[in-house]
Amino acid sequence: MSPSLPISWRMKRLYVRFMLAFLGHGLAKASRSDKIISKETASLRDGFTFSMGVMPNGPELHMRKDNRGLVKVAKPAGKPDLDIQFKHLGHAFGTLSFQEGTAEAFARERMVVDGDIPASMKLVRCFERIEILTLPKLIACRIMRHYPSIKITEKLVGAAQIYLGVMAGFVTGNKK
Amino acid sequence: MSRSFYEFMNPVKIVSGTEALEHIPFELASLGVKRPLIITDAGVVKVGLVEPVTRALMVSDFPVAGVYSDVPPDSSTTVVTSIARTYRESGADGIIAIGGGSVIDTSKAVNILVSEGGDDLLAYSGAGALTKRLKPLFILPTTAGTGSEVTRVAVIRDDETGRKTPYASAFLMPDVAVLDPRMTLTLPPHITAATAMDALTHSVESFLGTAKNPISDAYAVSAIKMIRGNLPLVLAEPNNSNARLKLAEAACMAGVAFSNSMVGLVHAIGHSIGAITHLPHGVCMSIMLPYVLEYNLAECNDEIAELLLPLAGAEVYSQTAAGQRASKAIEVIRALRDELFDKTGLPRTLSESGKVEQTQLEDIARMSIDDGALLYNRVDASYEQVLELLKSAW
Repeated sequence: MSPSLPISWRMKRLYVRFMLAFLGHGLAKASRSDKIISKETASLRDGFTFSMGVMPNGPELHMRKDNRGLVKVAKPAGKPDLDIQFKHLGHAFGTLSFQEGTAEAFARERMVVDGDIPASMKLVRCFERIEILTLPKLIACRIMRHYPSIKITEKLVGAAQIYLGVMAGFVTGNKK
Repeated sequence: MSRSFYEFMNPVKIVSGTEALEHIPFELASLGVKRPLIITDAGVVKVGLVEPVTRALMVSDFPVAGVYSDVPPDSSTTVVTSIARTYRESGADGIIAIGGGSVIDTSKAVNILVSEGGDDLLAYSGAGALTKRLKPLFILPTTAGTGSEVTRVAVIRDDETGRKTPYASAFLMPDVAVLDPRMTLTLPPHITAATAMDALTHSVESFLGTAKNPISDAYAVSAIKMIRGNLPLVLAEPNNSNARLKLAEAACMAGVAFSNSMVGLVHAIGHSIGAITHLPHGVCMSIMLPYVLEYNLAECNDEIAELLLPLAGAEVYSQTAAGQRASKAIEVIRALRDELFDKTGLPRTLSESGKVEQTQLEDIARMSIDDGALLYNRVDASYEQVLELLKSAW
């Protein structure tokens, strides 16, 4: 009989699964609604795919760029253009629970990054922009190298659009 | 802020010193190699650096499977496939690479094909595609700068798409790096200076970056001290074997440091300048280093101040007020660049290089912010900030 998985580990996995889905829906919405993120994603070629997940068995997020922006998709058949895999669940939980920033997680080798490196830099900037818009300034400042000056209205409107996009994504499950 | 965690790896055996070349047969035999293939380029052959290696093998009755001496400066998949064919046809069972960055990267890529089989190098591109040990690989660097003899990365141009494709794996790390003063003795002054500044930048950036760790710090600081002590000596006495060896060792240590804690904004910008203008990498590093240090000064003041000790020695360090040490360290680097300009003509600004047009600065800035090295810089940089830095360095 195999030992059962610890409750704390299951909770972390559940949280990471939720946050990857949140990130996917949030990115999909922001790639159409936020000026900065849509400028970054516009420079990716149509059909560009990227995956983000946790070794060895997930959870995972898969996205593709089309002419409207990024969309959340089912696991592609082939190798994605960019594959970002956390080395284990603890690393993913640390990053997605905002104990450390995206850039620092990359730098600290919490994940293996394989594929289009310039594209990964654009995505890091997108993740950071989402953190700026959706997190309280106090938390975002703690995990980011640089917190830009941003008007409160821009932050609130940006956050509201992303949260609405995420809710809509969860309701409609826009995974193709 | 940081959840303390780091990784450090350096499995390469470093054989360094007088008559290190003569030690190669023993090391080959230890790894079970009976017929190594030598991979090099025409320039290395021309200055007579292959001959002492073949002689060291000959006197130990060690047969060589062959010498491939046509590696171009910008190697490609076709070249790698061609050398892999030579390897197989000659019955070789190991590789000795003699040369600089291109020869070393090519040899690492050849090792992928001859170990994994087939001719499709691209199938092994990216990170983590290799899952087993490769054939024994010996690296004999002929420049003291890149540190490629201890890194786990190779970059090869794909002939079909023209794109430079990275290959990254711990299995790409060589088995043995041989540092012999004879290998760098003929290096001209301007290349000696540029490659040493490359090694200095590796050390400085690995010491300041977001991925720094206590072990790589130790390598970085030692490397800086050795470069500062021996670079002027080598330029004054080019035939000083001991100083040449120290520079090669420093470059190797800097390689160990940055392969574990990475490089930062100087490299992000330098890669882009090199890609767009073809200015040699070491020259890009030398030009941008003080400007980026000034940019990082507020955030990295304590670490830059620490570097004054290896850069200038105990006397200057102790005579400089604690609050002035970081600025003094940058001043020392600027003074070193002035010295190198006077002695070798190594440019200090982009305009002095004569290879960069002002109209290219925007493209360079745009490319720099998409370079992965930027993530390892403690201070983030936007397109506008990089453009300002480039204008300052103009």
